Amino acid sequence: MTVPDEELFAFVDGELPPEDMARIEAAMATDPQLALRVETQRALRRLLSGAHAGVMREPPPEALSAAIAAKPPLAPRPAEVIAFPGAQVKGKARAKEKARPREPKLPKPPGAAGRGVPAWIGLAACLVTGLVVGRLAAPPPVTLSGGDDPAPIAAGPLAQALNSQNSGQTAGPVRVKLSFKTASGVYCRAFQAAGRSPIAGVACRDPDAWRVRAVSPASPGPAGDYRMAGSETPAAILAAVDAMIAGPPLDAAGEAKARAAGWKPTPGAR
Amino acid sequence: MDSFQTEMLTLLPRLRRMARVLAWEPADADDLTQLTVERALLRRDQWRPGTRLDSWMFRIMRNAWIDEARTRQRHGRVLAPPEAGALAADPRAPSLEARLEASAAERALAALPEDQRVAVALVLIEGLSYQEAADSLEVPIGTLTSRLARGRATLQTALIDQGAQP
Repeated sequence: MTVPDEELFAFVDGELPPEDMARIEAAMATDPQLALRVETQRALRRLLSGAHAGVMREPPPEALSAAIAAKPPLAPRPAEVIAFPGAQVKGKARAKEKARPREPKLPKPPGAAGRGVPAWIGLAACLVTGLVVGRLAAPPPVTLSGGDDPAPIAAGPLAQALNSQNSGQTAGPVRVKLSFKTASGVYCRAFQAAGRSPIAGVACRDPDAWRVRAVSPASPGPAGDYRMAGSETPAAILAAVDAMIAGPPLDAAGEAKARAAGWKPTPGAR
Repeated sequence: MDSFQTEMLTLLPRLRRMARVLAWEPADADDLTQLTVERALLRRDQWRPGTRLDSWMFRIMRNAWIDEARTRQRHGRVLAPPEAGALAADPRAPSLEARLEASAAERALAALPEDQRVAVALVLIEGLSYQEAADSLEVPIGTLTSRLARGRATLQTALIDQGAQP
């Protein structure tokens, strides 16, 4: 009996329907060649199941367990982020979008309680139009111009950087960290803006402008210092990117192509 | 802590193991695990209770790794501190110490292309079903099984045909 490799693998992995499992099991009794192939694959499974087993035996580092345990249960502390409603992400991304905050929300950052607008909002307000900073009296200390308004439009140096800068460039007041496409083919870019109170955010390309979808103060965050380069981007922004991204981020060539095409959406192509 | 966090704590050893498959160097792997945990906690409302937390978290880890790899490539920077030198820039060039301590299976696994390596790890090490592994990788099941088959062929040559003992 001839059993193709992939079927044999599926047998060893227990992925065949019961009748096929039984058929191969029975054939092994009379077909030494088949029995040997199965035994080889089982040996491979055994070898691999022990790979990196050392890490399973040691207790995880305190920092990791603490990161899990320290999180308040069920009602996680809201991330310090402004998320803007957006209409341009359609189709498949909609399900993901549900998970993102609908309403602009802006919890008070630690230490800013009742004492006016946190510094990072100032920078955010310089970079986008339509970000309205409200009166300072009662909490919430800052409001946006309204839940139904489209996301604010990137202006000045931010718009310039989003239009023309390569990701990963390390000079300039605004640095683009990453470009990606949403499920509907819209281009988005995560950025950071330097300043006394640096901010990070993510903006997506509308036909006529970049609309800022989320902004958050950039590090130093309370989460501590990872050595990962990407951790300079606040977790809230990474999460916003995660919620929108479809496929891998653009590489340099993909970025150049998108820029040359004026960042026009390219539905379908991934 | 609630049950979500408790379950995540229970998963920690397996998350660290999977991170080793991706990042190889222990410190980098734990950084990746930390990032995965942080993201999972931020996005816990996206996890559907009743579905498997492990494959959901492997997916987050995989995406985090892709992001990190991209950033690293862009910045010419590495997960390890700069003084670790050029070696650490290439995940295929693990430190001497790590190489000496690794088993034959670990070395053979590390030599696989990343897509095959992850497919093999999810099914053969983590014991996920084909469907769960395909979901974790966000690929069709046929793509998963073909990566798995190619990875297996290479591993068989490297391990069995060379006479490694199970």
